[in-house]
Amino acid sequence: MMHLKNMLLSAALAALLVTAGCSAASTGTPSGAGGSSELTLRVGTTASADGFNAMTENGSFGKLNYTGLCAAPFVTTDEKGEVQPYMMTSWEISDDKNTLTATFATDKGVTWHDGEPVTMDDVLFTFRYQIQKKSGYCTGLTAVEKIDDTTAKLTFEDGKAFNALNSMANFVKLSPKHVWEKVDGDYKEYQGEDASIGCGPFRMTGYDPEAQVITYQSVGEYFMGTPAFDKVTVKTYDSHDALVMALRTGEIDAMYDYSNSLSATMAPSVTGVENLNPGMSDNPGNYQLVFGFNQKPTDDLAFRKAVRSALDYELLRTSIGGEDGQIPGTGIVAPPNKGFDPSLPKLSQDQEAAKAILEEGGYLDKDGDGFRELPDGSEMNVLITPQYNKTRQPLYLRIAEILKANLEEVGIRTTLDEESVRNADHATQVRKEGTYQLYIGYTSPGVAMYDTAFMYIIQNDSNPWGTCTLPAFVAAYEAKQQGRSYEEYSAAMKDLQAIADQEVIGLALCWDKAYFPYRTDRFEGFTNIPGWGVINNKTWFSVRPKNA
Amino acid sequence: MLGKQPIAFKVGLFILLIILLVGVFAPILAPCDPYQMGTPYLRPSAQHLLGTNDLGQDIFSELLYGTRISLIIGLVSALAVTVAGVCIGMLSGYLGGWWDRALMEVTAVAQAIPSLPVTIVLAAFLSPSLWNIIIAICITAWSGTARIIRSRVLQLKELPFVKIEQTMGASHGYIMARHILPNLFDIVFVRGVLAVGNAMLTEASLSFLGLGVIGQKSWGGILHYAFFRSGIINGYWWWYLPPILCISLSVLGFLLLSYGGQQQLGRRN
Amino acid sequence: MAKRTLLGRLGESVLIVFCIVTLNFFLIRFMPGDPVLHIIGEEEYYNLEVHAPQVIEEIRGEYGLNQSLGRQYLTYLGKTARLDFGNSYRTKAPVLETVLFRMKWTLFLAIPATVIAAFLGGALGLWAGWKPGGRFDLAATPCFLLISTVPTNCLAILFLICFAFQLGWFPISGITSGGLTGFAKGLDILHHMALPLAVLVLYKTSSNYMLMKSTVSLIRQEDYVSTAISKGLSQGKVLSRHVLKNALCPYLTSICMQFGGMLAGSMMTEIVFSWKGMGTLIYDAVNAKDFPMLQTCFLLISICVVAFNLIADLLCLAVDPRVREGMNHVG
Repeated sequence: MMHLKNMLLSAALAALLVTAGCSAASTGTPSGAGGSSELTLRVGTTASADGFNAMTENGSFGKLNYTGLCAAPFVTTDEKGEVQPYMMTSWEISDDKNTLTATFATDKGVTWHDGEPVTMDDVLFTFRYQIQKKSGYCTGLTAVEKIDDTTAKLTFEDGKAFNALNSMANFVKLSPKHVWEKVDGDYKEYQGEDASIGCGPFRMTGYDPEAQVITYQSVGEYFMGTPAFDKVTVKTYDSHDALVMALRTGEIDAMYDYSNSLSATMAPSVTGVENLNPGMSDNPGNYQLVFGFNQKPTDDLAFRKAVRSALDYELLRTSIGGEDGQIPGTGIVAPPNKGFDPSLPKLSQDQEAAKAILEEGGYLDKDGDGFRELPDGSEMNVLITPQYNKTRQPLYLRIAEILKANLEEVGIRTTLDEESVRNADHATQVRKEGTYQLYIGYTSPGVAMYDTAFMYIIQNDSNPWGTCTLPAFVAAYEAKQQGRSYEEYSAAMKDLQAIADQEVIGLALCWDKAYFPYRTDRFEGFTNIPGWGVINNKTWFSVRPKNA
Repeated sequence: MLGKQPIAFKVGLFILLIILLVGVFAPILAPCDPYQMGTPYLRPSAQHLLGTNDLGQDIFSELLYGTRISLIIGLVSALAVTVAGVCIGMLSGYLGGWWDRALMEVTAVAQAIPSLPVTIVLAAFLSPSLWNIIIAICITAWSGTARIIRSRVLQLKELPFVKIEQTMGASHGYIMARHILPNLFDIVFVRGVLAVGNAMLTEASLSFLGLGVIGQKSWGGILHYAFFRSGIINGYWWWYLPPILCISLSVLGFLLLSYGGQQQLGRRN
Repeated sequence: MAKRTLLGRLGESVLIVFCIVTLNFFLIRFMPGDPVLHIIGEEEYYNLEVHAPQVIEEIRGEYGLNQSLGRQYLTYLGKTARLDFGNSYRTKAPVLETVLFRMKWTLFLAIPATVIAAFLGGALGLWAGWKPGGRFDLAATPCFLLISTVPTNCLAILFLICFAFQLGWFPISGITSGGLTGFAKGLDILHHMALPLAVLVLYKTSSNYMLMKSTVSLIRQEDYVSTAISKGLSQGKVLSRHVLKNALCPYLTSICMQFGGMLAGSMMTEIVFSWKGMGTLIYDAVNAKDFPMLQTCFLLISICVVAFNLIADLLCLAVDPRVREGMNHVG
């Protein structure tokens, strides 16, 4: 019996030891501050922390570079989504919209993080690389030419200068020639220490793979302003749940997750918490339903109108956008976008009207099985394809369930494209070949700002996404792409929204809010940019410690 | 007959009977259509005993209907696993020689393959039909049963009446069907019942990862949406707790059944 | 004699590993989808498809994806033999480096869990099995039975909700908070691992308990035990001399199997607690169709299983000489 007791005792002791170790740790100081007197802004994200190559946009390092943390962009956007100077300090667009003459901050004493000065050579190198890799951010750019040590001339085709200026905002960053010219092969695969070098206000100083934290150190005085804090840490969490808990316990100060705002279902968990601002803003992006113009019956206006009248927008609003979600208008694009037309009517459900439209269009239930047939009498079974996205999948499936239920209520038989739910490649193929009928997708805030949801609807040379080739729509879209000023752009956007209203080329499913919560107890001076949140290109120069 | 069974067996049987009845009569028992959408995120009330989910569907009715898919997956997978395990184990044990070597090699490989990761890989890449999920669950689960059956058959083979039949020239098939199989009944029962429980646990894990059946209610599926549509961080216990309890209760039923069977087996030997 | 069986076992293990290497290759190759999409990323892939489809073919060639299956298989075998597992499709980093890093953290969680559970489950099972129907048996058995009915991920979620979300005693996820060094970091890691460790220990303990209990209660009914007791031997002596000796072999085999399965065994727990181990690595690799990563993970897991099966045989041989005859009989 002694033996048994000893064994039990030692087992209990082992268990005790572990718990003791844990409770001792729990009384330790809140981590993240590092114990030094340096002031740190602690950011949380869900982008994975793998790779620190400034030529890629991968992981939390790449996504944070959209805010100009470590790499400096040529131009940025402001709260209204309009282009603002950064490394490109001023510009002029020629009348034919084919030449952009710009000055650059190569005389402001900016240096790369390894101490080398930033020069015109770097500017030329960056644009030449963009041309060579046929970057989608600089479409139409054909040549770059140095005029003097601060000025260069960019040449475009098809009048794309203004378009490219807007597309490259936040996304195209200046690259150090001296680092990359010695790299053989694909820049994106380069893993060297100096791959992270940029000329932004913060320099990457380390990565802790266990904690998944990247640390950045301020470079001090900077031509855009001097940061009021010394360090930035970016910690990766596996889920928004964990990130919110970290915010609530004060482990981090703010959330950044490019285009992945907290889902509206989580809003209650960040509302009414002490020292926590839910960081709500109007989302310029939205979830949308796109019709397949290559397929019957979605190529038929009557059918599309019937779908528009059949859907339960109240349920869609709460499922997608929660309490703060809004029922969208018929023009698709959300209120924060440039050229938004508030005069268009709001979507509303009227199933009797939907049935009447279907009857009139010849969609009758001839065989009496409770579902309508196509006007030619053949069977109708409409495929609902959700976009493939691992994190949004639960919501996409929920939206699909709502659409299915609503359409069946007006006698339209539907099937969920299950293959696309599991298999990303099948989903891609369906979209690429344009063989979908009803496609549920998402326009991210970044795309919404300039390209807008219409990019997913149009089919033309530079856009493989959509299937709509209605001449009036294509013309209006081209006009938007070639606009030279925000006035021209907005006018074209108004036309596009009017066409969306009349031709029902797609439907916004909800105009939701974005939530990028942040703490208010340590820092102040945040600017909440719609769809981006408080970690943006202004953060590094305007945020300062509270009571300092 | 039932009176002689251990208490665990009876309790298990009772639990399973209730669950089976709930599954069969779900449409009659359910207060609402679980696919009918309404106001989302309602708290429990007289009208909705367990509140509503993110689409306004009645969670209580979802649970009742969920019994069906969860049970079907559990039972069919267990049947497949047991049949495969018994066939391989019996052939290997009875025929011996090269058959034994080859089949045991296959079994050893199946045992060394990481079962949950392989199941996840299959479930992730096959289209999400009920049958594919069952295949994914079964693919490596049969190896344990095969080994146990084999060692039991090795014992049975040495019994005098089998030896006599063999010397009398009875065919292998005849002996296996007539003498070996009936004597395996107890062990097959215990393993089979255990396999139902295991399959249900695996299904719960798959559904939780979003790799379960799409468009039909299952317990794991309810839990998946509760987790990924913020039921947990918002503290909606009426959403995430009931499916966990349902899974546990039915697995408990099967465990008790096999536990009782095992006791019976131990007593008889 | 024993030497020959051992060699046979070793050969068998190598054969099994080879079969698994082959299966790995085909299982993963037959999955639908174009891996190039995951190698270069979605946006880039679509971009290239419109502007420069030939680049996609070049990349396919670079990764050897355009060769015949047989050739790809031979290349794969050659590389595996040289321990060259290639680079991850997703992160471009060397696979082996990543897998070893993740393996370290899985082992950090799994080894203590297995060891603690081995002692705890064994001791408690011994206690309950020695006095079946006793007070302890009646109290503990239902508890452990209940634990084994809850799916792992569910128990993990319940722990997460209760001790991390509601009570706030433990961190939600991850391995460490970062920014710490030395002793403080060690404590922080312990603090993070407490919940996942507790979940794993509970599961393993309950299965160990059940095994030990049933083995001991069977042995207790044997004649030699009753004889020993009637001869007046003390309980402790009977336990250590007769019961433990006979119960140890099946128990050790089971513990070895747990060690063998530990690389993949804590997968669901790792996913729920975002523990950056093999489990989460495999799950991410599945989502990203990262073939080299999956293959390497599966290979290491299988080798681990096979190796510990071998060790189990050796241990039994050492503990219980009678097994030697049994091995000859079977093998």
